[in-house]
Amino acid sequence: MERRDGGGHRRALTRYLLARFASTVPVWVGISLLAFGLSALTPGDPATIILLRQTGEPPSVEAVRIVRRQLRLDDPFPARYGRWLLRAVQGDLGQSYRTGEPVLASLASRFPRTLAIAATAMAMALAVSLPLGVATAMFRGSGLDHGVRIATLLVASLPSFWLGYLLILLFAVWLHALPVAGSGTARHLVLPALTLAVGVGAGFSRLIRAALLEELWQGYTRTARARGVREILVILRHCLRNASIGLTTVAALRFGHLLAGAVIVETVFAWPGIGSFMVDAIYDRDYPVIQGFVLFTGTVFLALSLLADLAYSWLDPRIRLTRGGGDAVA
Amino acid sequence: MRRLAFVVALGAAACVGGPERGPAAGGRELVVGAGADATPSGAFQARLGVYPLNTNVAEPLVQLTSDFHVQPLLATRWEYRGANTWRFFLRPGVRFHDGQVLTSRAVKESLLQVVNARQGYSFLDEHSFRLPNDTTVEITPTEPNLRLPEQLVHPNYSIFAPGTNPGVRPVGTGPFRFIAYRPNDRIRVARNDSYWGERAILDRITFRFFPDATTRVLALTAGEVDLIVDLPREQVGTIVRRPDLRVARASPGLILALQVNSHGREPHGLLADRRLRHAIGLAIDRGGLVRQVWGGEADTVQNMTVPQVLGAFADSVRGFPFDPRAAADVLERAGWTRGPAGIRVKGGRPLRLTLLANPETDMGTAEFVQAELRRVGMDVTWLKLPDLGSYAARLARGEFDLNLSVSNQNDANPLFLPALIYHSRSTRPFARWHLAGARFDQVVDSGMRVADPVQARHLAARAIHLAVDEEAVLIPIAALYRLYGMKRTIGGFLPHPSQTNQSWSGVTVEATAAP
Repeated sequence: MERRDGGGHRRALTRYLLARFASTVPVWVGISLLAFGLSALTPGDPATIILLRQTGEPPSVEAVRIVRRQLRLDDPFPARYGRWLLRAVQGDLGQSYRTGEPVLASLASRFPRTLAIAATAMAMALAVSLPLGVATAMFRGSGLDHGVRIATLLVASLPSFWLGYLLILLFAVWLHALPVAGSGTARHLVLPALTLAVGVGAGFSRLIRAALLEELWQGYTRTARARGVREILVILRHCLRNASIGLTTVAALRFGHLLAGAVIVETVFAWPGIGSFMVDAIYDRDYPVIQGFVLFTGTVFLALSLLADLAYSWLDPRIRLTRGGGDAVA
Repeated sequence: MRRLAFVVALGAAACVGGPERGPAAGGRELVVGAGADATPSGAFQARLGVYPLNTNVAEPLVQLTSDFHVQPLLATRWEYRGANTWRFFLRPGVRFHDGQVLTSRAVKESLLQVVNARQGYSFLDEHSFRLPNDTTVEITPTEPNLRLPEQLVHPNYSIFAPGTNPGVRPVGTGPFRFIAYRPNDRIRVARNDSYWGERAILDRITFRFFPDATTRVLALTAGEVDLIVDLPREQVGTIVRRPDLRVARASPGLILALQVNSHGREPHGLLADRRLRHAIGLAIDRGGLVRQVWGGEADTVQNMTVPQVLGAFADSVRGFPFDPRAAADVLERAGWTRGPAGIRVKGGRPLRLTLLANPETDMGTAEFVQAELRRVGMDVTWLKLPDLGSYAARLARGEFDLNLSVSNQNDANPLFLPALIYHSRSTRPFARWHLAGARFDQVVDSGMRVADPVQARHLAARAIHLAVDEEAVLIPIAALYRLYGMKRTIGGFLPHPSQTNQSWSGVTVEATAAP
């Protein structure tokens, strides 16, 4: 185990951050290549679809040709990719074929809405799963433990659209407590966030339970108990912090999934976030939006992954950074 | 699974006669639950609140009646001047919502936007317009097109105030004026108290977008909206069982048909044989389809277009009787004999066909057609394509034998679909797979050159008769109703068979007692 003074630790941390950040660059370029290449390989001509959507009628060959020329769709792949990547690093993801609006601005205007349901769902999930996970670990094998495990298994198996309909039925149709769908107020946020939170929270509570059970039989917990520390304090002060390392990784990834993949929930609840925007873009072969979305969410994933890595050293005091940076050793 | 969820959720909703609540109670605001927000915008000159969702903020020169006739709107009359030119006389005293007076210059500017955005289908270009004075417009298409007045009913040809952007804030002359738009959420309009005609009854209408049909129905049952468009047919029972709700049906405006690849390249060349095409027409039990798949919410109309468009001449298109024995006889005579597993074979080649279906078309129909054709010995592979892009690509390449599609009739031109899909000079990339022949082309061309609409209907019916009854390049299946669910407090709603021409002026909302 290696120890450093404060300045040395800061330098090591900076080196680690830089190295970690540098390692994301090739991954990011790979994401950009996939984003651009895959959308270009999909069948279907965006010019045809744009015109079809506008008029409701199949377009003429001439109209398709003009739109293809305007959109420079006939240029070779490397030229189009190079042009796009160069603009992307400057913060320009191009313009939507359908709307003519800048892609980054469109994503930025919708992203806060998706972030709102994802963050609310994550907060709801953690608020419920933490006490449930702790309680079921403390009272393992009890009726509560079995009941919660069965309940979490059940709700984790429910498809989100089904759950969404049931929640609408209960809270909007029967109780008239919340709006069916739409956006604009905090009340509109509750049902879509809850729909997402149920599945995430169920998974978290099982994860916390399992991680805590593992920690409960470690040497340091036995020592704490031998010193007369109460069981609840052993769990909350000692076990939970160690157990939260795994949870951090999973939570970061789940949060990334919520940001990128709340498509069905956004559709059911008419929530105008980036998920539904992406689906429309796929249907309409709106390449700039598809490419921009994949790059945007890929970047968010990379950032979350980086943050999760950094959170380890804060959560676990045993983790120290090596002089060379990049690796963490205990 | 999804369908099961549908049934459970809505079945439960049907059991609950919950208190009537919602924005309509006690007020004169109507809240409409529409489908997904399909408003194009930005570079492509959107018609916000006009097409595809028509909120009645703008009006074209002429309008489409519910029996598909043309009647005056911003133009009080029109006349054919010869040399492919129509003259329209504008209604005097009409003002846009911003106070500007309707003039021929405004008409030209609006129609030029359509030309520049390549949204029209009337052969118009920047030289097509002449303005003899402030209240008269002359329009000369670039190709023979005397069907122009019947085409100008389409809301895409609506007239907007000069110098305004209809993609951002539409300023029209309609009975409602635009208030606000939140993309993918809602459009709000309010009554135009200075309307030139009979004023609308409602104070305001909010059109809310619900991409998911189940959510749309749940919003109605929760009382959050007053009326929903495109009610899924499987939910009709749910709505009907509720004492506070009802269903309204527009007369058929959608034609469900099989478009045949009669000019395909191998392996899609089998249907070049007219006998096979006729056998397909005879093998489909349309009555069974309407009962079993559409739950009675369709009509066994056999035509290329909505029968009202053809008027008295609609009956000259006969279609196909359901006669599987006759279909089998036709196939036998064509040399296709029953082979292993009941699939017919000729010269060692099994009778295998590829069916495409527009992903936005009801999939139950594709399954039904597949089963019906199997019964007479045709092995039909249904290619389930995930989206419109893959579908359009395959269609353009001709990689199919049959294409199940739904056609809308949104104008009064009886030759719209014949010219668009089956004419050899159609500019549509897929038209080459469906050509109906030289005689058909001649009749369609004649129809485009006659000024008299009755004569045009007669010629259109003749052309369709050739395409359906003789050439069988189109096999009609059914005509579909548009369905609406609404509260019983809604009155005066007359569903238009062309949804894009729906009028909201006469709709009323009756106040209900508080729960």
